[in-house]
Amino acid sequence: MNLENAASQMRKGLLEFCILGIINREKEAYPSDILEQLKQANLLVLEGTLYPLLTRLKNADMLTYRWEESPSGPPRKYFSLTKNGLKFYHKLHETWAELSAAVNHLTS
Amino acid sequence: MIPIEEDAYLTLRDYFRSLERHFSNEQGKDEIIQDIEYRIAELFGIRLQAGTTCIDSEDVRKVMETLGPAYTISAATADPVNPTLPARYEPRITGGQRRLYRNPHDKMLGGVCSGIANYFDIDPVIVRLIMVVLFLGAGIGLLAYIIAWIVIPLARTPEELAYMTGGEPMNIHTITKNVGEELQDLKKRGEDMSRELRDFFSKKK
Repeated sequence: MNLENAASQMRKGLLEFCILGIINREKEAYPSDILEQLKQANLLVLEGTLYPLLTRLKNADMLTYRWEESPSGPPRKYFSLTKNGLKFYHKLHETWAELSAAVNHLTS
Repeated sequence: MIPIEEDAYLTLRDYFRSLERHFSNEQGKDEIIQDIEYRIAELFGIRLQAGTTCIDSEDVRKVMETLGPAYTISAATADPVNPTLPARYEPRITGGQRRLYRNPHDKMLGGVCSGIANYFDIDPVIVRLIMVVLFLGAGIGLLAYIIAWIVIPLARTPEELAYMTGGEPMNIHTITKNVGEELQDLKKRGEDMSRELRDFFSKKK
């Protein structure tokens, strides 16, 4: 068991949860918005890590997107949750509530 | 269209190549790389709006810093069910080019011969024998060795060590590129070398 590895898996799992959370709250979000919020919360340091996660969530039918032209710069992908994604997010939310309560109780 | 300086463009191209390499086993590879491309275009756009006329190396460096090195991106997001996730301190290189380094773990003098042996996948003893023949016979052996010692970098980090033994076989392009890069801090290594030589000969006495 390697700490580096365990910590990075934990961070990755939570990151996916938070990405779904941001998109759920905003209804629709494009990557740079998501980046902004994750960076403000200190959850993400390197921007590049967001894109593989988004693509994977999309391929797992959790997310869908539509293109929108941008007045400046390249076109933007606006992501929203699919039905599956919404269900998955709620399940994760429950799990997180249980887990964080348990962990806080045991480690406080 | 984004105006970009030649060397900045080359750096960026290398960055995309390393992304391609690191995501080569990923199903959504093209999409991920396109997303990153768009993000970079967006960041450059912001830069240009701020009054820059042309994207230079410094801009590219900053953007690469913001996004993170390809290796970190792919390692940080690797699939948890995939047991071949490379641990950070023991990187295993499967794609890409093997690199020529002097081998610090198997050396008689400067690690040149075993470094070359690694590069070509042959036994270091053979390279050493050839080198000894060149030392004694042709008269150019010593000079060749010293030049190799100066020019070939020592593998210092775990990643360099991984590149020394992993990756695909070499080609002539890599060699010339390495030589060019290494000539730049030739002076420093020259000093290292004379120190090591001194140590070596004082040990012999």
